[in-house]
Amino acid sequence: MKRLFFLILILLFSLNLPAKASAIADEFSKLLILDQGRYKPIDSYAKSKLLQFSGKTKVNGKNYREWFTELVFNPESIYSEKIFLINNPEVLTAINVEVDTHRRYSYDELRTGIDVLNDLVKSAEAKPEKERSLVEKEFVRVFNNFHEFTQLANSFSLFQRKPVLTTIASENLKSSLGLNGELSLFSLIDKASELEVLIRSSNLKEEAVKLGFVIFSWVETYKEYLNLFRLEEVFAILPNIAVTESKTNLEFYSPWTYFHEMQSQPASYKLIHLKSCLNLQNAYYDKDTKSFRAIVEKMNTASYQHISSLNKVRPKIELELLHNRLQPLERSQLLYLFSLLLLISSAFFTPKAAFRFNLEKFSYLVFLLAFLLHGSGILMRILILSRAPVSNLYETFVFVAFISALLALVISMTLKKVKNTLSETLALSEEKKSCVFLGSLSAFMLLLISSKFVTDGDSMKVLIAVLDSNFWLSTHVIAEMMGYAGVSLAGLIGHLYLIKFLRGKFRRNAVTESLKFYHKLILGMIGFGLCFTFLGTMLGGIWADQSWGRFWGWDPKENGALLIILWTAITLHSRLAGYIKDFGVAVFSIIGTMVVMISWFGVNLLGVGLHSYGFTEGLMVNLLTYLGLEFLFIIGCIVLTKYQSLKMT
Amino acid sequence: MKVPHYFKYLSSFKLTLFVLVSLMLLVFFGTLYQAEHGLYLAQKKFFDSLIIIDGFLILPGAVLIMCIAFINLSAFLCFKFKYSWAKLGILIIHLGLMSLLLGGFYTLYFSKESLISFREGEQTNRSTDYYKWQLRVIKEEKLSGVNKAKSRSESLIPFEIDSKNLDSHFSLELKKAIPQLKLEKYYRNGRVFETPFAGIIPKELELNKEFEQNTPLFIFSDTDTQEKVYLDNFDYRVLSYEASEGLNYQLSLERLSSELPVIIRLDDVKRDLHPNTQVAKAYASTISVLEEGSNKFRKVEISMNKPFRYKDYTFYQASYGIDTDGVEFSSLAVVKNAGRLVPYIASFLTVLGLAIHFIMHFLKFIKYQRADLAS
Repeated sequence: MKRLFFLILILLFSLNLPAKASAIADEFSKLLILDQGRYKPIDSYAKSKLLQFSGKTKVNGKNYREWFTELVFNPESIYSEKIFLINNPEVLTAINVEVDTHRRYSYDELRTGIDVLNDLVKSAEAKPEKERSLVEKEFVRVFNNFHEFTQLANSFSLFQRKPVLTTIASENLKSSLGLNGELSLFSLIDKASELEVLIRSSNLKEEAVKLGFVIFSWVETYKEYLNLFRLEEVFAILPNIAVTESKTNLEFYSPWTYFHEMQSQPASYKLIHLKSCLNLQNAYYDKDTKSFRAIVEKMNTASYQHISSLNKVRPKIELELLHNRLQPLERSQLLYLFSLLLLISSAFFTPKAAFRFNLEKFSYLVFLLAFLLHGSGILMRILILSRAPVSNLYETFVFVAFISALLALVISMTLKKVKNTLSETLALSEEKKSCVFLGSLSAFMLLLISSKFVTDGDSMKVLIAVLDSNFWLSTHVIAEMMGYAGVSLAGLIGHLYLIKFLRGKFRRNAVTESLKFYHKLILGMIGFGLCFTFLGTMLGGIWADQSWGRFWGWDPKENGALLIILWTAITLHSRLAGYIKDFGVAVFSIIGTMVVMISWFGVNLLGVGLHSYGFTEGLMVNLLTYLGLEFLFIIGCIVLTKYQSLKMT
Repeated sequence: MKVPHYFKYLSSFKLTLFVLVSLMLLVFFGTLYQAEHGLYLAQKKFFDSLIIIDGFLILPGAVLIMCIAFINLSAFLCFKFKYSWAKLGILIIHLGLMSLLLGGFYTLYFSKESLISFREGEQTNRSTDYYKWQLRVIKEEKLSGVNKAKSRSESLIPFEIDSKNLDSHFSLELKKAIPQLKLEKYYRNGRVFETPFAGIIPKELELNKEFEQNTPLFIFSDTDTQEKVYLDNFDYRVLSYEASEGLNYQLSLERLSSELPVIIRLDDVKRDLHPNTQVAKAYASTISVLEEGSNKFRKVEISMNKPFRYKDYTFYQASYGIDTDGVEFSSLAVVKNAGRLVPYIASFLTVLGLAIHFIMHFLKFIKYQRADLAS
């Protein structure tokens, strides 16, 4: 049994492992970068970029590390790879690209129609964002992705070997400059003073002038490009050393910006980091992992020194790397699913079969493991970000999933163990199985929803000023999310109640005991949800009073929380007044989940108010579909119950 | 004691459910209305009103619903509630909710919100209202006599920006202040444009959802000549109007301001950005405060989530900017609310009640579950 357990776990973990990256890609992923105000390993940056372009973390059998390493050091090799996700065929028609069944297109394909796309984007951007159609938004998104890709592909162009340069310079000229092999733009710029001397001398003057002109025109072209597309914001891996003395400027530059900004600095100062970049590029060409590792380490040391005024950046970066490699949230999602499948498959065996009991217990263990992994993932994020992990939609779903699993676990632990008869020593009680089922199902579903928001970019973004309060963020949002978890779980149990109730009605089985248990769970979860939503809302009121000067301002998010409180109060009072019974409570709990979803997403969809920090596109259709399906489910259950009751009478 | 029938109704679950469902509908539709028309109008129509009138439809507003909720809660505790230790949680919850409603009523009718916007180095003891304005009319009359002295008088006519049509009171006040002019038209958001060829053109602008951004435009007409006179607030315009020989009026539109119990000077404004971005990490204003009865300024720092409190007043960091002269300015939101602590106490009570009630039920659930399974 134990062997089987470990064997399956290892299998499961290896299934979810990212494709093995090359040693150089692994080393490169450790390099420090400043992106969107946050210091992070390139690993996280690469992952978010590939997700942003293609919605995946693996393309053409390469994982995101390997893909990104090629994009930086050898971009031409991936120009034909299909990575750009385009959902709207109208975009493809507009730029004259054939529709692909996988909805992904290569850089080469998009390049042919980029001028047309540029014009379309210009006319789309002339309109205010809210007035743009879905196709226009897609034009802008694809265009921005294309340019970001181009910027990344050019980020190391200064150091890449260019055959054109090599052919322009004769062997004589190269030996006079002390150069050999293929030349890069930077290797020539590095020899600018020697070239200047040669231009003055007579025998190689003509060649030297020609080469000087080529270098100049290339540099000018890139500078222009840099100004046009704000290259300085992309791929900022080099610390701005010109201000290290003051220790106040924590900015980083991309290699091109660094080259541009350091023009006025003395030569030694100017070249200090650029030479590391050149060495990095050369080590890549030579496939020299050892040198590559040493250069990355050297560059990181310089970067950490630059930002030494910031506390504990290095351990956080290392933890983030571990987090990315371990993938605790993705794996826990898989384990929840596995636990669920085990529990479902156990139902196919006869009630007293030993294998069935083993499967049930195994399912419980897998659930526990998933829960621990899930918790460790959240803990890692807390340590990396030094704040509560509940500041965007992705994080809130991950957190609510955890609380749902925790609630199921706590309830299962409050249940007394069943009697010590032959079968029952091995078995989990029905109630405990219900808890495992509920915990796994709710956590899996919520994590599945959270994975849809990963493509929004970095899920560990820096906070805007008003949110940057650890105390209030930790208390108000966490309490609110716990409330959401309680009400959502009540809704999930409500579904199970109705299904079981209907099954009982149709099969004419008495399932009153388990229905009674579900009913109590629904009430408990609604009570829990009400307590925490109220607590969260009041804490939010206090935070608002501290920040904005009013306890309550009828902001959409506040109203959303109030809707949950009101609905749970309506449910409890309707039951107390006798207007609804157990069946009604189950139906009301499902409506409660619908109210939670409206509150959770609705505000972002409205795009107004002080809480609408992350407007998320395309959610409206999903939300309305969900609400429609729930509505049909409730109506279906009511109709079937009435029908069966009439049939029985 | 026999409880009268109507008191029973006031404490009934039917009324409770009516209140809860009505409030839920109000909140839902009020939020949707907010997306379309902005917070201020939604608040006025749905949340700060006793009744909502929309065409022929008359519905209860949130204030009326909350009044009924308060009566329902009080009647419940007086006539229906069975006092026992087991129901301690319920009792505290309901008391907490009653105090929350009381706090809400007090804030709605007695709290006052305003704004100070000043540049570095400037000082003020006044704050301006977000939505209330006034028309200032200065009358200057040349007195007959050898010394050519002028008489000068001033009238202030207040009005609220959201009024679609200004009421008769405004017209009456206007007539008293400047009988030569009659109000022809009023726009909640508008501006006068001076063009080289077409002359002066008044234009109504689209109403801003953030209502405090709207600035009114008045069109007056001369009662004798029927000539049009336009007045807006662009660039703090002061309109000079000569009614007759020797009689001159100066008209201007300004936000209503009120005096503060302190003088505040803006010494410095700071804005921290996350590196390599334009995303603000923190804002802070260093101010010097001169309190009543004191002759020495004291330094105070106001930042996000860290306001400055003085008596019933609280000053918050609201926004930051750089004006056209390149000087940094800061806006501080000012709230006067003597009942500020009521919601804090009420929330504490309600949460305490909820916690007691929930824990008691949870323990009961465990006890029941174990007993049930053991049997």
